[in-house]
Amino acid sequence: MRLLTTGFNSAYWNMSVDEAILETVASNAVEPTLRFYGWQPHAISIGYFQGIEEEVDREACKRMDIDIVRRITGGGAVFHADELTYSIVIPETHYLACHDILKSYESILQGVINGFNELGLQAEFAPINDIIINNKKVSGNAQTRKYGCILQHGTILISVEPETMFTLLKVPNEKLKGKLIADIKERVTSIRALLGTSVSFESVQKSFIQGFARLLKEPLIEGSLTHEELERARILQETKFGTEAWNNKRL
Amino acid sequence: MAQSKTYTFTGKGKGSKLLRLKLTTEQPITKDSIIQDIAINGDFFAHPEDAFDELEQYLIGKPVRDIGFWFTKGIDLFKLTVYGLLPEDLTAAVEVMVSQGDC
Repeated sequence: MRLLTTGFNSAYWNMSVDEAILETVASNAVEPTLRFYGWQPHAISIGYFQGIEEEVDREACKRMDIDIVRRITGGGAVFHADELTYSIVIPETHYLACHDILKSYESILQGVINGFNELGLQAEFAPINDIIINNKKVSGNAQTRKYGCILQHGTILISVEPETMFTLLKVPNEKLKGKLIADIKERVTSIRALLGTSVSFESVQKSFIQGFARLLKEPLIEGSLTHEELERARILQETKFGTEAWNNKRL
Repeated sequence: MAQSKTYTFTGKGKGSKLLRLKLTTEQPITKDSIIQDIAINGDFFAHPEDAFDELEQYLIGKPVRDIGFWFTKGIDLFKLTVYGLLPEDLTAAVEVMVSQGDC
């Protein structure tokens, strides 16, 4: 499996690269790919089925220089700040891919659980798409299937500022239903909060590379985006993820 | 001619993801009202994602009371896989809309 560590980039570029990789893996031009990345500037991504006005305080985002992008995957809105993000693209015939969506989340997320384990943290899968530690969310994930491939991407919270997060996101109290948590700000935690010490992006990335390496039957081979992927990502950024038409869908 | 109004609902069925439903019908909404426009937004998953947009269009013209039935038909018709949103969630949402009316 190809391993990419693409560092910090804008929300528009990050989503464009994930889709470009999906297309190139689907066309067999590159190996199945595991990518790790960060977000600069900080950003909010909303799920494909969300309306930007319903989920995000756009004025607050503007004041704080926070980009907003719509993902091609479903799920909820996410504030991307001090976190490691991964994406994995595999054919639907890959051994980690199951026809059953929940099972495929679970099999891929074992790599993320292993990554937390590398840091000394015991994490567990919380269906449909979360990873929790001590009953608090520490990773949210989203998956789509296109062109015979699965794209799954997800966040791994290194540190979290609930006040900022919930200033930018409009999270209704209904979201807590069934979660036995009184205050929505108590719903999330982070590696830093759990370890009681600060950890670098690079060291967290290393742990999660090891976590996925333990899961995979094939070796992880460091690579880079191909010329075609870079070109396709540029086009997607210009014509899709960086456009008002895409980001303002489902108003 | 009756005026149209967009009704909204935000809520979550047991085991489901957050649903934000926007429904435009004649005013006041009743179980027999016809869906003039609809946006089913939320945290759920469905793929192919763009087929879900077609499913929403398919629900236009259908009576509010049968939204769950037509949603299920649409899932089959457009070969959708949906996670975190059930037909019952939509039925429950429109029941709340109807019971609250123009309150």
